[in-house]
Amino acid sequence: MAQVSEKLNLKEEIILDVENYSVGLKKIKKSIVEAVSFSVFKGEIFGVAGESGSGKTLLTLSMFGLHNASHLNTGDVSFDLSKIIQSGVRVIQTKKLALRIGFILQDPFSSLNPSVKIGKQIGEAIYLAQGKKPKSIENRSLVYKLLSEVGIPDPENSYEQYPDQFSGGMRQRIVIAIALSQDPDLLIADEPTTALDASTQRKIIDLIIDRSRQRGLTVILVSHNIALLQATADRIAVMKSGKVIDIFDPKKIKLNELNSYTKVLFDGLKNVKKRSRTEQKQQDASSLPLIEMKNIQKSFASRILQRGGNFSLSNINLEIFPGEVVGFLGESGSGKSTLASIITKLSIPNGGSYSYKGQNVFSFKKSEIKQFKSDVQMVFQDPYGSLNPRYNIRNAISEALLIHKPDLSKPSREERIIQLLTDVGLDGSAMEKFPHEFSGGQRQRIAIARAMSVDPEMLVCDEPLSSLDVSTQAQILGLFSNLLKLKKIAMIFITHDIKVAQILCDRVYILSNGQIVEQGKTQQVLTSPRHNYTSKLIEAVY
Amino acid sequence: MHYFFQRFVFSLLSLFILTLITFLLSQVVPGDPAIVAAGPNAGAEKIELLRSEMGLDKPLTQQFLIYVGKLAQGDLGKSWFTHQPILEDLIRELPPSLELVIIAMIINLMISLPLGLWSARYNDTRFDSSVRLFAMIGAGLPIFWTALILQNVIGGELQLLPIAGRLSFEYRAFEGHTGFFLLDGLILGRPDIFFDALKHLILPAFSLSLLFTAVGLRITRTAMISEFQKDYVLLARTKAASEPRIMFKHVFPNGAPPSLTVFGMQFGWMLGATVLVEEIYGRPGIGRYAVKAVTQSDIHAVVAVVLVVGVVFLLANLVVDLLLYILNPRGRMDK
Repeated sequence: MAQVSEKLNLKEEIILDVENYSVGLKKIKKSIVEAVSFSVFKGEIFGVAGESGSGKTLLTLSMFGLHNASHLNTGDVSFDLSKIIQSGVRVIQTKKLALRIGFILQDPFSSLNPSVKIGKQIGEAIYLAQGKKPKSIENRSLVYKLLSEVGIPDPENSYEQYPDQFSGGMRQRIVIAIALSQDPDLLIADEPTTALDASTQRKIIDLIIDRSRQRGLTVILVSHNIALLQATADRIAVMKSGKVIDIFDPKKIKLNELNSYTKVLFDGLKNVKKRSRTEQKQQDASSLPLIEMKNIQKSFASRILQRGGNFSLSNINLEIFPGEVVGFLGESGSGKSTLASIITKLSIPNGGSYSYKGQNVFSFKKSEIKQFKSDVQMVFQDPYGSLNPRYNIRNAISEALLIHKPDLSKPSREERIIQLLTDVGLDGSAMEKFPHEFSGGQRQRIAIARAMSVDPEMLVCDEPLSSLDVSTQAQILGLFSNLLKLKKIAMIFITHDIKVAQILCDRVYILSNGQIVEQGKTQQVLTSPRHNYTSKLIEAVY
Repeated sequence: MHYFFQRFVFSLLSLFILTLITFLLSQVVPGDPAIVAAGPNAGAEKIELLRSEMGLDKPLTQQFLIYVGKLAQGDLGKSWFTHQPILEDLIRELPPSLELVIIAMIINLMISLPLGLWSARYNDTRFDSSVRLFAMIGAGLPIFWTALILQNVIGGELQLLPIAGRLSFEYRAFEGHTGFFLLDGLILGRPDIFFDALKHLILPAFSLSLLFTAVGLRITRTAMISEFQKDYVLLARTKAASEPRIMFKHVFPNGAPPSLTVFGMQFGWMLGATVLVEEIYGRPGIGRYAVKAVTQSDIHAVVAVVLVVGVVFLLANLVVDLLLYILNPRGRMDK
């Protein structure tokens, strides 16, 4: 932590000083965040990085008494020269601090009161901070000013609207307005953009940084995305298993001084090898497409529309050839998952034609449906939700085998399960265990093994990486590349992450608002995009 | 406005289905009503005469139309035993029961809403555990048992409250205009009547409400706990909002809808359960009337009671839906 003393030499004032701070949860008193020490200087943007479960949220929220389930153990915390926690005991209550700290929370969909007009919610903050009566003209005009400051169009009308009339990004702007209305000294942003789309993410981060710099605000920015912090923060603290393992200035990184774990975080997907050109199946123009869709339409009754997303599809034309890896890229609400559910026949479109190996999917007989369901397998986003918690791994995998390959004898089924588990980087001992005994990455491996068990022609993967940490993502991506080497299998890979598509996909379809706006060879589309939306997606990546 | 209209149409539809069911109810009851009504010694001619008088010889659809037409005029038929119009019986019997249910509902709301909110705020504390214990015991006690115990202990041994009736003996000649003695006491400027009637209501109303309070409490608590966990509460704390402000301005309006829906249904259920306390506390009312009608196979009276309880149920739910709309101006039920 040589950097800290360096900064001290510059005689910058410390606004938050944390020393030997340990905190646990009420139910398990044992410390989850252990003996953490760091200082935050006035006016700086201090990043806290780490994967899920590293304790970054517990650390930042519990210091200010905003974590309901936290249990302070040891340590001292001072805020602006006055002790707020002394030897593990809170000496200044949260309410006295609240006005000096602005908060931006992760989920903009639950951080606003759904039944109160947004103008009133900002007005309440102004009233509580400055005593200006909520109904006064003064209060209202301050709200208007804040709304336009955070980029909400038409403040007069927006004042009268309710949170569910705004998109996620807009709601996060409203939360920022509330934080700024108190004129705080410190702004804490806990994963403020994780729930948002990539293109919105950048705008919101820019807004937070811009407004804070303008007002000379100190910001603690918590994120799992170290690239984002690298681009924005003055200093970054890296947390792992409840400890701060590195604090550094991203502009003066000395790689040899960094912890090896930090390097893993930094590398992210960089070191995952791209599937080489020779591996990429040469598309034979004469070969029959595995899947062909023409003019597929899907619309929903308006009740299903939520969170501003329109999941309907229009005019979808696509072809997927045997052995090809195709990416569906797009932001949330662009219709990629709807399209996947049509491809796997989990839902039926309103119009258009869909053929599998040249046969019309909609006129399948019962036996053909069974064959199709065995040929086309899915891997889901949430590996925990897609495995039955009461089945051990043997049962989970043999269930699919029993249905689709009933003539396998018991020993050969057993053998096959072991082979599958080995293929995905586990071993036979995993068979007896239950899903909760595995980590997220291991569960995803099991889900992949299960999908592969019936020798499918095609694998449809719906955001299989997005619930995993960066270091795990790299491993699972590697696993997919290996599997593609081992077996001739077509794959549809649904993702919002351009980097993932670059590594894995031969071809991509870019989806926006339920339409395919661009398609082509991955390299070509992502290096010289022709559609505006594609360029926007590419620019938004940190 | 569209929402109100929708609710109204829905209620009308339910009302129609209710009348249809009550009509069919009177059809499926075994035994020939004409024979029953004519009495054991009547001759075949008398029975025939009664049958055509009662419209029993006409086709079913026509009988139903006659039934609905009569209902529209407030004609619920005559009791075959008292030979009184049932409407008059109901006008006499309904107010005491409604009075009882309304007071029981007020007790229910006054206990379960604040207690539910508080125990959600102080979730997992000793206070919360004792509230949950109370709710569990309350939900497990049968109404008649609570009624008997309270009557014996508080009314009998401690002599704190009267044990039976609607009014004390000295007011036995009192007759109000509305049949609701509390209301009559107020209208006529007779506070003595008001308080006397209230004293007579406390034990039966409390006995009636305990079970419902326990259920309402648990539902309120659960709904409020999930609201307290939402981020907007955290955000309100960072605004330096006081705890009462967070509880009443933020959490309560968002957590109340599930409880309100249940309270609406409870109103109807309570009316159906009044018989249990009315018998024990010797109060007149629709519950006792219904039991008498059933034991005497007075099918028209039974059907009328079912209809009235159903209508009250529908009205209570309509009121709740309007309340929900007021609480949630965005009409979140659209989703």
